[in-house]
This record gives sequence, structure tokens and C-alpha cells, in this order.
Amino acid sequence: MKLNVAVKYRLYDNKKAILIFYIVIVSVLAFMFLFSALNRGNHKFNGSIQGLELASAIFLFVVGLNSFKEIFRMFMQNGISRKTMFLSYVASTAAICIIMAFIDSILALISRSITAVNGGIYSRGVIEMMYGKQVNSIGTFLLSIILCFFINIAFTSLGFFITTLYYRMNKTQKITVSIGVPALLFVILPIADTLLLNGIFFAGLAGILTASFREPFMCMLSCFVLSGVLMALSWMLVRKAAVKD
Amino acid sequence: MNGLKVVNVSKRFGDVQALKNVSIDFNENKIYGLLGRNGAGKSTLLNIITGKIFADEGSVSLDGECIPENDRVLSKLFMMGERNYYPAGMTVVDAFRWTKEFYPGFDAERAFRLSKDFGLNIKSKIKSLSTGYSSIFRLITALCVNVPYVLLDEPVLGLDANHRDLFYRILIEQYAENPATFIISTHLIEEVSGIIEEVVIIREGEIIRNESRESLLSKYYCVSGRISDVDGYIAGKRVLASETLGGLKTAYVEGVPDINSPNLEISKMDLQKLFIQLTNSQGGITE
Repeated sequence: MKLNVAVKYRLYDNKKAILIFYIVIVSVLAFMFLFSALNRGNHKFNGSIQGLELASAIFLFVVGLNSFKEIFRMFMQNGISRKTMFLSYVASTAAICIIMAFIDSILALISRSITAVNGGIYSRGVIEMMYGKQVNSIGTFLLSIILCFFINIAFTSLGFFITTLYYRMNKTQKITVSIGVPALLFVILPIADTLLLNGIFFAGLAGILTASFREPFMCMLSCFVLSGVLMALSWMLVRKAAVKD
Repeated sequence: MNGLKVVNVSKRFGDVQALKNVSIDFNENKIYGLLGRNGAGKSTLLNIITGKIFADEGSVSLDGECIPENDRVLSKLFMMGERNYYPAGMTVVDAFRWTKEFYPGFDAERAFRLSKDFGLNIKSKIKSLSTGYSSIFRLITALCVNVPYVLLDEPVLGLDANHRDLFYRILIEQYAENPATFIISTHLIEEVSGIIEEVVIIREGEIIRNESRESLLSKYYCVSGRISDVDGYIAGKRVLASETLGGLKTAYVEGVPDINSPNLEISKMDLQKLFIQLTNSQGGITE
């Protein structure tokens, strides 16, 4: 019972942001259509829309970043346990990600028709961009939706994990992580890898990443595993989170 | 077992021991006054009871079930905290609507009526409310939520005298019509002393008194008069504290008055005076 209300609240909380996001996306597409139609045959205007669905993934990353503190306080005020709060996050994220994956796949199809209006503007969805698969059948359309869903889930989970991690940390820990992680990833590791390992570490990492995303099902599996790990870590952070004033 | 039970709860914040092995029962359908000086541990105790923060040690249960992480038990409790935990952009009317979703017993009609009585604009965003109206919004929510246990942490913070009076009247009316357990944590002891039935005094994280107001007040009395007369009277008696002003002395004595002297004035102890004497830094009985 409480889980239903908690999910309902989360969907309500995200509704406005999602609506604004799609108003912007649809406006951009409408502008592109108009622009394409007005410049039909004018080959000075070349451009491309690629991986439109990734805009949603980035948007959902930001949604994930904003999905903890305020809702946690609201739920604590209204007698919702941390467990229900977390389950409501998982359920509402799954619902939002699948709905957005569906809308994005439709929009990607629509945006492809811009090319038909003006050959100078090239448009392709994420599945075509990453794997060269054109969405020309129900099968590839469904595949596109499922792929987008898993990418969306992974991005949201990453955002949620970061926000819960920062919520639990004190000021010193926040500064340490904010400086330490980028320094480690972009300075210390590359230098150490070059000087000590002759680039083996990053070559190996690139190999793993390439293998993980080399075809749609591997990408889905990788996103699923990544999301699972991030959600498990997030739960460990949420279950002992205290309300901060 | 019915009631709210706190057993051996301790909580530390860094170097500060906020609660030390606190054990207390809050029974059904009573109004408790949770009294303590700033930093005594009142809010910490209420926050632990409602699961907002975790105790380092000990347990809290309601009607025999552990409270933390139990939605069913949490739905029997509502805490109006000092802080506002509602989203900043939410309007009062939306907050009422969502409270009704989370607590189906919430009386929205009454909430709208009380908002009118208090002059609260329900279309206002919560973040735009003044300190007083923010307290009023949370008070109305707490008064209309209809759960068996309502915890009010500094409920009249920022309220003017008229609104405070209105709140106390509404609380008494509600309690008479629909009894529930109210735990009121406040510094305005004089104002609530007529409302509360049970007094819980907390000092430096420890509960030093937990009994009915009548019983507590009947244990002490005041003796006033010239210094020599008062000193003569209190010799050998258990004295809580004394104050001297000019040539006059007032002593707060434990027990029942046993003299009727024309030179001494005997009076009843009031709750605020008793609280001050029990919780000041030199608090304690001397003989």
C-alpha cells in the first residue's frame, strides 16, 4: 500500500521535469523539420541528429542525481521506511526508463524522416549509431526500445548512486572524493600506466569496454550488471541514511 | 503490549553524548510534555522514535513492534519537527493532498477549515511561508493526520500569542473528541503546563523525571520569608534550590508543608519554576 503511494509520489515528482524535457526535444525536432523544409535542395545546410535517445540517458542521469535528498526528507516526514523508499525508486525508475525508451525510439523514427525532407540533414538513432542496425522492422524497433531502457537504467542508477554517496559523506570526504576520483582517473592512473605498465592497464580497460558494448545484447547485459551493482551500493548507503537538517 | 516503548537508547554526535541509556514508556491517549533545556536531547529522542535517525544502542517499539523500517508501525506515528521536510516548491494544498495519500486518515476538510482559522493561505508555496506560518502549516497537518501518536517538536515556534492560544484550544478540543497520544516538546512550559498530563524532563541526555504533572508538583512547595525565618524552617529538610533577593529568601522544598507560620509564606510550586530548578547547572537536592 505504502509502496504504491511512494511510487505514485516519485512519478508525480518527475512528471514536470520529463514534460519540460520532451517539450524541448520536440521543439528542437520541429525546428529541424521546419529548417529542413525551408532549405530543401539547399546543400549549404548539412547536419546530423545522432543518438537522440542518449539525450534522455543524460537527462535521466540528472534525474538520478536529484532523486534522493528532497524525496528522502518528504518520505521520512510521512512515515515511509527506507526500504519502501528504495523499492519505490527502483519501480519508478523502471517505469520512467521504459516509457522514455519507447518515446525516444518513436522520436528517433520521426527524426529519421527529416532526412527524407532534406537529404542534407542526416538522422539516426542510437542503435544505428552504435551498431549500424537500421530500425526498419518491429524486431529492431523493439530491440532499440530495450537497449534504450537498459542504457537509461544504467545512467539513472549512476546518478542516484552519486547523490546517495555524497549525501552520506561528510564535508572532508566530499572534497576528497571530488578531487581524488578525477585526479586518480585522469592524472595518476594514466601516468602510472604509461610509466610503470607501458599502457597495459588502459589498453586492457579499453578491451573490456569494447567487449562489453560490442553488440546490443552485450550492451544490455553490461548495463544491467552495472545498474545492479550501483543499485546494490545505493541501497547500502540508503538503508542507514539519517535525516540531516 | 500497547504503547510507545523506548528501551536503553543512546546516541552520540561526535564528542556529544546526546542521549544516555534512555528508557521510557509513552502510554496511549495521554498528553506528554517533553521538557528540557536546549541541547538536552529532546529532538534527538523524537527523531529516533520516528526513525529519522538511528540510535547507537537500544530499541524503540510501538504496540510491541519495532519502529524503524516498519511501514505499518510508522503509519501510526506523525512527527511535526522543528524543521520543514516538505519539498520547497510544494504548495500547502499539495502537501495536504499528499499527506492524505500517505495517511489515509488525514482529514483534509478540517485542514482547510483550520487553515482559514489560522489565516494560512493554502495556495502559498511552503518555502515562501514565514517561520510562524511554516509552523502553522505543519501544526495543522499534525492536528488533522489522525494517527494514535503525534509528536510535536516546538509546535509554537514563531507563533504569536493569538495563534498559540488558538492551537492550545484546538488541541484540547481534539483530544476531548478523539483522544490520541501527544508528545509535546517545548520551551514554553508555562503555556503548556495546563494541557499536559505527564511530565518527562530530560537533562543532558538523561531522563530525570517521568511522572504525572499532579504527582510531580505535589512533591514540592515554595517557602518565602525573611532569610533567617526561611533558613530556620528549611534546616534538616530536603531543599531543591533557594533564591535570595534583598532580605527575602525563597526556598523550593521537597515534601509537604508542615508549618503554618505567619512569618513564612507557603505556596505551590509551578511547573516552570520546578523545571528551572531541576535542570539548572546546580540542580539537585541538598539537605
